[in-house]
Amino acid sequence: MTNLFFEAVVDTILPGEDEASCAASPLPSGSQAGVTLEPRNAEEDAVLRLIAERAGGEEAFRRASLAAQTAVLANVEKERFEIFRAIVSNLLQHYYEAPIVLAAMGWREGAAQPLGHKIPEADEATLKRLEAVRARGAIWRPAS
Amino acid sequence: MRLELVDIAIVGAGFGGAAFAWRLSQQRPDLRIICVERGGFPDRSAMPALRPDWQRAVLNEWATSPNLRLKSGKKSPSADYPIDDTRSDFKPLMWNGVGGSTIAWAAHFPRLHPSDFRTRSLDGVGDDWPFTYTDLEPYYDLNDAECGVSGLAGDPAYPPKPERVMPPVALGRLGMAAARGFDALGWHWWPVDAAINSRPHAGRAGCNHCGPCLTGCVTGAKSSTDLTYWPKALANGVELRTHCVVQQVVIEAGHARGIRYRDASGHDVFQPARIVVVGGNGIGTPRLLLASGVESPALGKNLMFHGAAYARGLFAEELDGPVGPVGCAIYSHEFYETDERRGFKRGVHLQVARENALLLQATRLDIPWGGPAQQWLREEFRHSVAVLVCNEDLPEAHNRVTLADHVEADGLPGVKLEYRISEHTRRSLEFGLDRAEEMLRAAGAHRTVRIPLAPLTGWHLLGTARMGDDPRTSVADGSGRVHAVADLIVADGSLFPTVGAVNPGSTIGAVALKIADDLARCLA
Repeated sequence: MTNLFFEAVVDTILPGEDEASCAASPLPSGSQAGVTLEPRNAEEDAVLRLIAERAGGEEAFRRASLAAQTAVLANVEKERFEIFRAIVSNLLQHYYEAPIVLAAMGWREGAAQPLGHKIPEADEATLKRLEAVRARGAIWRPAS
Repeated sequence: MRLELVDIAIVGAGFGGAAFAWRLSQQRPDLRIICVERGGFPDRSAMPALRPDWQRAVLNEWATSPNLRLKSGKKSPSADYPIDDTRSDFKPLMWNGVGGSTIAWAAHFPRLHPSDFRTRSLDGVGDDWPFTYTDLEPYYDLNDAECGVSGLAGDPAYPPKPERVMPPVALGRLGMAAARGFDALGWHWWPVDAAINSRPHAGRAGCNHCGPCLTGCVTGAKSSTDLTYWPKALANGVELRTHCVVQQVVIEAGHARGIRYRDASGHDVFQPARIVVVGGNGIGTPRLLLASGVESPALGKNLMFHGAAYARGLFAEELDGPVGPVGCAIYSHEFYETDERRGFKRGVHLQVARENALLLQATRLDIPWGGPAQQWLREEFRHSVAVLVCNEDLPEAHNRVTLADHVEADGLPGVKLEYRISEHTRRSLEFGLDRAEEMLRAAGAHRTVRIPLAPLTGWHLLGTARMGDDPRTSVADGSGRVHAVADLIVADGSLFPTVGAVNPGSTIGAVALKIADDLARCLA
């Protein structure tokens, strides 16, 4: 199987957003985010070969529309659910940790620590709401 | 190898074992106490939050399920064994090491309600506990003090509690949005009690909201017993032996005589003890006791999790995103107590949870790939509020832990779960989801979705060595003493006769402290 075929599979699973989308920073496709695909075992290899076969060959899959590619993958997913989802999970792990993807989603790249995040404490309106809850009195049920 | 006799041998260094070890060593410093733990201490310098690829850890070696950790093929710091959960609607989650599941918990720290201890008397379901909320209250207070609780006194859903030593963890935009919704409906809400430092406390840092609480807390802001009870217990002289897997409680003539374990080098060791205390929680405890030949009709039965489901609301306004503490913002007990008009007994707990990290959320979608999945993530990321609905699971004997016919790599028989969700739970969760969606809409959500069942929420492993007065229907008495075997005590969540609708950590710790005091009095 060729890298171009793998790339087409990656971009069907992770097509990204096109420039016309309303997002300020559109999501890149999987391959644009640097995600690559290589079967990790014989079972994954077999599923990828099945995708090519169902599409009428690697080249035919590459040339198909995104809708047609998606339909091929959906059918293979039904037949070989667990292995197909393992391939997807592996790609998602690389994609959603890619700095370019996190930036497109408006989130910080890198380790969660030591920076952490700042989040606001309860504001005045919320504290007033809390007083109203307190004022309604006890709601627990006595039991001895 | 046979070792010298000790007074107390504890199995398991999780919440129950840790609290028990500290309290008994404080009350009776003259006793020789040892604890044997199958895992080791967590290494905070190796926790995922310090790595750029921290998100994927929760799908691999830091997955919440031991089965998923084993399946990942990556070396996990948790000393796991496989659990056959193919016949269980909820999947068991746990952490095996010093600190037990407090290493990977969310540290949401509610107490049971007084009515939770009297469900049979009040509502004709479940069973009464052998003691009341009032009996346990001093131990709740002591456990709070030792663990360090952030929160706010004055919650009308509970009898008065002492001032919390720290203010609530920051509510964030998400918590304030949900408060708006509860308030619009006139429903109860309150900031949660969290065993998380909202400020530096007891030599530990304050939480900086990094997000991935479930893959261990790098800063130590989150309370876990390796940081709270264990240092004090060790200072009191308790000896903790790590990477040692207990194979059997040795029983002779109806008395526990000690434990047999495989040490870190693989040697078989017999540790004689006057009293054996087991703290393996709802799966580990029945597994060991059944493997040791303890005969009790209720042993392994009445497994309870909590029914769990989610409703999510999507908001136009920007919220906080995947920050922490993940399980701790606000909650509502408006519907916690029984109201016969709902068509079911007991109630539901509504807990506002923070957003998952992007990768985890992507993997949780029904169809996690393709354009629609990416569009959905785009819409909800930093714009969603999740409400976890928990109901009171009721004890049913057919929900159980049993042994398999084969022996696992750890030397013990394999373990199997059988658990089916009851009609009671389905009705309760449906009701709770309706209320959660109502609240989300009142808060301004333009769209809501429900996840009618959340199988990967099985942290709460309870009820399989239940307390009671009758040896035909219970395994241990109200002091954790096993009816069938003298000098054998249980000190963990498996003792719960019923489970309320809230997280059990606070109650597990309080019960273990009480059991330690009961034993100390007995030995006086």
